[in-house]
Amino acid sequence: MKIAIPVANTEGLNASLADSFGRADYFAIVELDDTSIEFIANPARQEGSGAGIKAVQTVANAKVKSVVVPRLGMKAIQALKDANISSLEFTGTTLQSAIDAFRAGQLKDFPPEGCGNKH
Amino acid sequence: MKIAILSGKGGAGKTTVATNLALSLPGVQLLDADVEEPNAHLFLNPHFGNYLEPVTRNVPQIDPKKCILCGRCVEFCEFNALALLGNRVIVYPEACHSCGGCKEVCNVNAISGVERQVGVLRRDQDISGIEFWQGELSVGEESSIPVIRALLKKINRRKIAIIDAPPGTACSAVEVASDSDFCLLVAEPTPFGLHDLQMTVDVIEQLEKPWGIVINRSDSKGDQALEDYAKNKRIPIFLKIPFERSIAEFYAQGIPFVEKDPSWKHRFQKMIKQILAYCGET
Repeated sequence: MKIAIPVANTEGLNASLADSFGRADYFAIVELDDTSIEFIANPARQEGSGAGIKAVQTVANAKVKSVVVPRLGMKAIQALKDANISSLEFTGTTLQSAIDAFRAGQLKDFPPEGCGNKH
Repeated sequence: MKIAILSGKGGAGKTTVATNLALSLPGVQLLDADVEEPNAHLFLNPHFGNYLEPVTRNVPQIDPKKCILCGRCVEFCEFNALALLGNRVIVYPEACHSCGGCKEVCNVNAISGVERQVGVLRRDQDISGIEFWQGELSVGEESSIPVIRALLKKINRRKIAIIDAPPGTACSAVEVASDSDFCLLVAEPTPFGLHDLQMTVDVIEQLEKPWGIVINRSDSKGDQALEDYAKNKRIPIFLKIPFERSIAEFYAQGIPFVEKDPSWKHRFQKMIKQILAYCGET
C-alpha cells in the first residue's frame, strides 16, 4: 500500500515535511510494504488556481490510498474524497516521523470542513 | 458617460469619492462593482426590496456514457477545474473560468454546459435621485468577472454612470476600467499612496483612456510628491479632499460628507464639468 506525504526536499527519510499540500515542492510516495520512497515534483506547486485539485490528480495517478498532511484546502478535501483517498492530519518535522505516525495508527481523518482558519 | 473610480489599494477613498460624487449630481447611476466586498451601501442605505437578479455562468458537465477517459480536458484546463479520478472525470465548477476550452478539445462530444449561479445583482431605483446597483460574488467563487460584466450591462448610456471599481490592478479592476469612458484615480499623499498610484497608472495607461486624479486625505506638505508625479505623467488633478477630522468622523458614522456640507456638492459638480470638458463632452 502506498501513501503520499508532501515534503519540501528529497533527503530520504530526513526530508522536511511541507507545510501545505497543493503547493508542496514534492510528494514522497511511500510504499509501506518495503518503505521504498519515490519523490515526485509537485506540478501544481506554482499554479495560479486549483493547485489542490491538480495535486490530488498527481497523487491519484501515483495510486496512493492515503495522504498525510498538515493542512488541506476545501477543494483538495473534495477531490481526495472523489479519488477515494483518505486524508490524515499530521504536523511534524521529518518524513520518518510522518511514516511512523501513520504506521502507529495514531492519525485522525481530516474533518470534512477542512482545517478552518488555519488554511 | 461612464466614470470608473479606481485605486491601486483598498482604503484610498474610492467609495468616498463615488458616493459623494453621485449624491452631488442629479439623476446619475452608481454601480458598486467591488463585488467581493461591496460597501457603498453603508453610506447610501438602499432599500433593495425583493429585487434580486441571479448571475450565472456556464460550466462543463460530463456525460459519463460518452467519456472515454482520455484526460485531454483535464490536461487542457489552465485552472485545474477538471480531474480524472478513478474511472470518471470530475468537474470542480468553482475553479472553472468558463472558457469552454474543455468542450473544444473533447474528441467524443462528452462535454456540454450547465449554468451555475456565481452571484447576484441588487438594485434601488431611487436613493435621493441615484439609481443604485450592487454586484455580489458568491462566497468561494474565484472569478468576479461574470458578476462585474452583468453589472456593467445595467449602465444606461443616457445617464452619467459612476462605477466604484474593485481595488488593485488585477483583471477585476481592468474589467471596469476598460469598459469606462473616463478613469478617476483616487490616491492618498503617502509613500504607499504614491506607489499604488504608480501601479494603477502603469496598468491604466495601456488602455489609453482620458483620466485624472483625486487626492484624498490631502495635506499641503504630503501632496507634493503626488503632484510632481502627476505633472510628470501629465495627468490632471481634478480635486483634493482634505485630511480633516470632521470628514473622517462622518465617514465613521456612514454619512457622506456632502450631506453635512453642501458646498462640497458644488465642488463635485465643478469637477464633473471639468472632466466632461477634458473629455470633449459638454
